[in-house]
Amino acid sequence: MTFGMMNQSKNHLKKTLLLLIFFISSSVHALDLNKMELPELLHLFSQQKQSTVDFKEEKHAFFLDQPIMSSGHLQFAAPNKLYKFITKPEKISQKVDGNILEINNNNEIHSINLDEHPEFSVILRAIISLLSGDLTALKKDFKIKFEDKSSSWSLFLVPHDSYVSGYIESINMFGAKNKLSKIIVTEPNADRSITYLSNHR
Amino acid sequence: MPSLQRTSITVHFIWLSLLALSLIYLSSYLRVVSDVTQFMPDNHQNKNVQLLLDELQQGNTARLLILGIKGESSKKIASLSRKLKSELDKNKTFSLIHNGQQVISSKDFISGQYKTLYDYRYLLATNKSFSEKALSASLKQRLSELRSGLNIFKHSLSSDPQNQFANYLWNLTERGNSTHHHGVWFNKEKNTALLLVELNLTNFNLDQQQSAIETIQTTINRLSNDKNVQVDITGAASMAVKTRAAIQSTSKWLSSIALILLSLLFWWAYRSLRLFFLATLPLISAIFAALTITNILFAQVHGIIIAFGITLLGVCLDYPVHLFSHHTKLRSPQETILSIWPTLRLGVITTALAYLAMLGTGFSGLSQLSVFAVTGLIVSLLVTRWIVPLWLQTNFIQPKHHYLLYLSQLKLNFNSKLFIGFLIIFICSLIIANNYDSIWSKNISDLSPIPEHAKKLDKELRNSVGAPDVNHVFLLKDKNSELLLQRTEALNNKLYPLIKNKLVSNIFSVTDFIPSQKQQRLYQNQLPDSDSLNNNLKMALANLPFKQEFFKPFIDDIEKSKNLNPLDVKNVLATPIGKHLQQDLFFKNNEWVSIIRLTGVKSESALTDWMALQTDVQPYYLNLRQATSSLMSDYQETALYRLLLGSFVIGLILLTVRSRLRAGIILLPIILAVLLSISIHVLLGTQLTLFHILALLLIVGIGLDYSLFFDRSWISAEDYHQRLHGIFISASSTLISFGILGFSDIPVLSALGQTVTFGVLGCFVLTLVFNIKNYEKA
Repeated sequence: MTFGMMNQSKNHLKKTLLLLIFFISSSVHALDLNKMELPELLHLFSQQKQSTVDFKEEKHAFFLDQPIMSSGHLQFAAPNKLYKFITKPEKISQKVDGNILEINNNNEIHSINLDEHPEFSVILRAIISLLSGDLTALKKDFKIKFEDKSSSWSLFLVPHDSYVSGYIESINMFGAKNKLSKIIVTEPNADRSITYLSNHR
Repeated sequence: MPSLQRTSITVHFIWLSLLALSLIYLSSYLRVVSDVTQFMPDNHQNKNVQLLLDELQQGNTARLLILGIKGESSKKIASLSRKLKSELDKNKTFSLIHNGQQVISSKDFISGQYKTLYDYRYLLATNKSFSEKALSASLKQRLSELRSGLNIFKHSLSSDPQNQFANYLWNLTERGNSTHHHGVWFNKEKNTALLLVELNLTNFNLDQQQSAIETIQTTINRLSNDKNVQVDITGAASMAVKTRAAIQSTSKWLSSIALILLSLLFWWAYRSLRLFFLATLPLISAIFAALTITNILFAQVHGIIIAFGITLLGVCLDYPVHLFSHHTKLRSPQETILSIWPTLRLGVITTALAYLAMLGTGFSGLSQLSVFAVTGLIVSLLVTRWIVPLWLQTNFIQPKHHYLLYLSQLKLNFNSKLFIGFLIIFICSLIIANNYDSIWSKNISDLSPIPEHAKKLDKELRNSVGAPDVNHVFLLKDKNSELLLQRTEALNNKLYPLIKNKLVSNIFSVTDFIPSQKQQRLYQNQLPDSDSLNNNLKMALANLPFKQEFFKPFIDDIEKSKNLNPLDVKNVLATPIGKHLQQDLFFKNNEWVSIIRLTGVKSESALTDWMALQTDVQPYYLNLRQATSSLMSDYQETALYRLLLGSFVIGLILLTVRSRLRAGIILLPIILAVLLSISIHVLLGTQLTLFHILALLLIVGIGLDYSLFFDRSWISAEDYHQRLHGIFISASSTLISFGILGFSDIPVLSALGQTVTFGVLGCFVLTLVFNIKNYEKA
């Protein structure tokens, strides 16, 4: 064999390898076409500056025979306004503006500073961070596990803060594209609240 | 000449060493006190008034500051209030910061610092009903809270479903008066967030108080970083600091303006600034001596005395002025001072004796002032006599003043003078008689050196934060704390009609939070038995999603409460709520004291009428304003009486050294000037205080000097010009310094300034008018 032949055969191998790599990589890419990463999802959310959605909530607790039910609608306005209007079975409104949570329960108004009550704020902050597409904020508060199946995704959040995790064990959020459909908040004693969201507008 | 030099050296040596000794003494021993109570009589009959005043001035109440933050949107201000609280909470200078936030977690009830109180909740607060209806209402409320997400009391839900303990704490810190906005205390009308801050200071050191206040100020500036944000701070400590600052700044601008104007006056009068500085030597020596002697005799000097006394000694400037005006190049300064010495001496001795009349009244303030003034007057006389002439140049030339010629050529016959005298007496008597009832101030705060705007701010913030009115309290004392609480409870019960009849909006009694052991037993006995409670709870829970067994801790706790030994006062005061109650229940002079406070008194007269019918309630009632106003009247009456006594002494002395007619001519213009000064105040609507009376004494002293100098025999027109010049310059310098003082925003100083300005003007004009005759004779 001459040196020239050797060179030729090496070149051929190289071409074949490159071709192989190209095919593998493109097929992987083709498999992933309908899936999203968390940043992409959050980017999608960040496009929508305002949204309204109906909700139905069930609170399950060890001290309850039956869950506490309530329903109404949620309103979000970027970057950090979240209003929750419970209309049934009684009228209660919750307004988060920045770090102030104002609860109007039968015209009795309570203001709560969220910085002082992280146990309340953690759920609200998770929702606001998601809806506003703020990855940094999410990462700051939670350990994140994101799963995306072709038609839906789930976001599993566990609070970093040990004080907060004494109140909230995890927050599970489910959705499809930029539509949130379910939130499950689990407490350390297994008490849960499940919120179903529908009629996005 | 050598003997003169030797005398000069000796005199200077004595003077300078005494001055140095006084400086050394003052720098380490001078103790200045500043509260009004110390100016009050030592042995007041009503010990309760004294006790309450002490508590207000030096007790826990005095440690409280009220803050108002404003100048931005309500949201920003509320957030600033929270941030400020959390910052100040870290600082040991502050023992309690309250801004209306409810930050206690229900976790603290069960295992934290509130545990003892929580365990005793059914013994400490008036129990709620345990009926089915009441329980059902409470549970529905809790359900609604859970639904709203407001489950702050989640941890106490199973053991306290009625929120008995949370309400107990809420009532304690809110006292039912303040309003909330954005979760903090707020005055919505004024868009102001309100905070109560308690200083953790064991003594009332002004510097420490000032640095605490500055800490608050700088913390707010740092947190807000916004020029629009303003903070108003009030409270006893803030008042004391503000007063000191006001006195300092007043004395600064006052002395600079006075310095400029007086040096101009001296330049005009004598063409010499050197003489001006020479004239201040007796004054400065007088101030040091007066401070030293007063501090030695009383172990302290009241701030009011210093401010008042120093200005009062301003009259000492007159003595060297008389010396300068009488001096000519024809004689030595020693000869000049010897020529006017008898007159000067008589003037000082009579004035000093008048001040001595203020001694021994039982009013420590008056005694201090008396010592201060007498020492100052005598020392300045001595310095004028022995030191000033040594520095006076023999050959100094006085400029010719044409006004003297004009003044000395005035002519007035006896009848005109008589007419003027009677006219003044007639008009003044008419004015004074017509307003006799309103001449004297009855408000103790008129005596305090606190600037008017600071008092107004204090009242405003106090009202907004719902601080109880100190003017309507019931005070009870007992050596036994349990008996005291029982008596307080009994009295408190008798006061309920006041709320029912809407005479007051609220009554705050410490027994609502620390009931007597007897009352705690009563609460215990009212607790339901387990069976009926279980039964009621079961019925209440029908149609509610709660599990019945969840509330077992509630049933158990009530059962446990029945077997608790009641808490005693000290146990409760040692808990975190103790801080909130120590102004209403405290141990003082070997006795326990409790105070019941009324808030929102609708009508004073209706309250007084109601009280008149309640013979068992009335003895404990204390209206601080009323009590102190009678104290003020006593004080003023005593001072006035002593003023008359002092004037009588002056008259008596004059009668022994002068003929009756001459004594009359000397005294009449002074009496008229005093009458004029009072009448002008009455016409201006100023109510006279103790300080006005003391200022009148100053007028008498100054006027006496003028009169005595006019009264001196004289040998030539030039001689007459000299005394006229001396009196004119004295009067001008007094008018300048006291005129400026009249504009001070410290009530004491402006009272002094205005009174003396009117009085001295009157004295000068009237002594001149009444002495014109002497010149005609010549």
